[in-house]
Amino acid sequence: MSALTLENFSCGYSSTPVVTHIDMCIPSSRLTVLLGPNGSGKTSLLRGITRILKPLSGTVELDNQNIYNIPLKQFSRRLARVSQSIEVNWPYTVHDFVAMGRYPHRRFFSKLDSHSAEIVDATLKETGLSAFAHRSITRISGGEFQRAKIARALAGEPEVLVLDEPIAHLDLHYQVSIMNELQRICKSGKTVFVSLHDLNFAARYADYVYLLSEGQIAAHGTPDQVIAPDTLSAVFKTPISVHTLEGHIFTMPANP
Amino acid sequence: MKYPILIFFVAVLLILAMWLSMSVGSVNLDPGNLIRSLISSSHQKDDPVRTILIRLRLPRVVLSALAGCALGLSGAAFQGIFRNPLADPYIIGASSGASLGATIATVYGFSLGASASLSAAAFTGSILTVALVFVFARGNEHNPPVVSLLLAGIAVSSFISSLVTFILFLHSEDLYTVFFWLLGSFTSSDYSDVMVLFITTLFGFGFLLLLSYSLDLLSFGDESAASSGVPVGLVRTMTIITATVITASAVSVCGVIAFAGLIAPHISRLFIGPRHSRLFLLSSLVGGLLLVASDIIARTLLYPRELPVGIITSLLGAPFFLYLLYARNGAEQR
Repeated sequence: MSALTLENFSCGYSSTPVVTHIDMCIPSSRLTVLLGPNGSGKTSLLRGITRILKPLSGTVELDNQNIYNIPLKQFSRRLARVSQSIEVNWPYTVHDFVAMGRYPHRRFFSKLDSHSAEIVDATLKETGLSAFAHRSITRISGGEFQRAKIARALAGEPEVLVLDEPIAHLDLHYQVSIMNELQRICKSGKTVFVSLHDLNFAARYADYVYLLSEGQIAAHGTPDQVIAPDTLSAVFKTPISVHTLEGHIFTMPANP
Repeated sequence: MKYPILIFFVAVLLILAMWLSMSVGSVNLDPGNLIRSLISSSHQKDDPVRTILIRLRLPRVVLSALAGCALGLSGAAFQGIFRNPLADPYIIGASSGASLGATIATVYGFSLGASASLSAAAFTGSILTVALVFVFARGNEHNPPVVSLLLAGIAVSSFISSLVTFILFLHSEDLYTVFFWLLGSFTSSDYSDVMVLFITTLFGFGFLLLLSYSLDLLSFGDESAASSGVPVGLVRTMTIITATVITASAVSVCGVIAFAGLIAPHISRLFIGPRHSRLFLLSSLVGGLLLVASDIIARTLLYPRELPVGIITSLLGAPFFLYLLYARNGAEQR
């Protein structure tokens, strides 16, 4: 079963398409990783399927329903997005920041109801942020802030979680803990679609992989199908070797 | 301090300041006797103390408090929507437009002396100017909407300010009148001003409260807010319209009072953090307190001469703001 289906989908900026005529099926309750070199269109694709960028052609369907036929608030209740960078202008507390994830469930003007408040507390606990709940988001580390962003998305109880490079610029500890977190989210029945740069993390965590190259899908399949030396070397324009160690695939730049 | 206690505390301070403000002036009244004079002498219609209080002092004090509330509120709204701590109620031209309206009304005389039509002209000028800024900002697709609005606001404001200067250069006989109006004052206050400002501020407060939660999400950028389901364009337009109407009503009755609308939200955030639902109420009260206090100083400092209140808010407000800026930089570097 697929949660998100793209058909003949193109998107980009004022008639300069970045992603052109692609078809994709993102399986539900699985962790799907989007790989591709810088400028291959990963971010545009993610913006397209989250209604930030209007498609130039084609459709995106969420459970067989065109995403533009779903009212915005309902859509954001079902699909949450963790973007690569957000502006932080005021020192909200981690708790208040995560509570904002309840926005799609709130009426026009209402206090955080007790049900929402429970969910926010539970999410903070699950993501290990309870200890920071009353600290300002300007006073926590990059790794903790990344977790807070994910917690905020989770607080909205979405079916689908879309993340744009959530482990970029983090240390190994946070990279692993965030990827474990995403795996846990998947096991709880949610669909996770995440763009990554790290091929080894993709190999280790992905159920399914899409490899994007110059706005087109160069390959897709299970990690061992996509993470192959010829495909990767061609797409990244760099010789890449693929090895297996204790049953895990990993990649390295091949000797020149 | 807990939020309700803090609100109560500031509200009590505001009422005390208004009380004090009622008792000072050309006739100093005993603060203890104020209430008795207001209530008990109702059968003595021509009691001079009562006349001073009801005709002169009360509208003035209430107006200064309301103007402060209006500026504190719209300052918080503009800082929120522009995600910019340096934004103030005048950032996209509400004040320069009001100045132009007031200047035209004063110089070209179709309203000479009548304060009601002076405020009407100022109000119209203010609203039209912001509308103009909106039109120009809309045509620009290369910048994010917030940046376009700020840039168009700066350009339109400086154009209109020059126009004001130009008109005053041609009609220097009116320079003094307009100059003092621009500095801000509560001297020509009556109950109709109070009513207008009360109604716009109250309704504006209600509207902004409805938008407050969306403004929290918008502070993380348009795109982030949109992906949480915030109708970004609608919220932005509604906020700016509401804040502009509030600002325009305040400016049109008391002139361009500097700094209060910039500082009140900052002071408030220090105590209760950035959440807009709380910020709007506290910032209003702090704004009111600032202006009532400034008005007391303006009336007593050089007694019997009265200073324009805008001078006091700038003289006290600017150093205070610099202090905040300095303290904040220190905190960031730590």
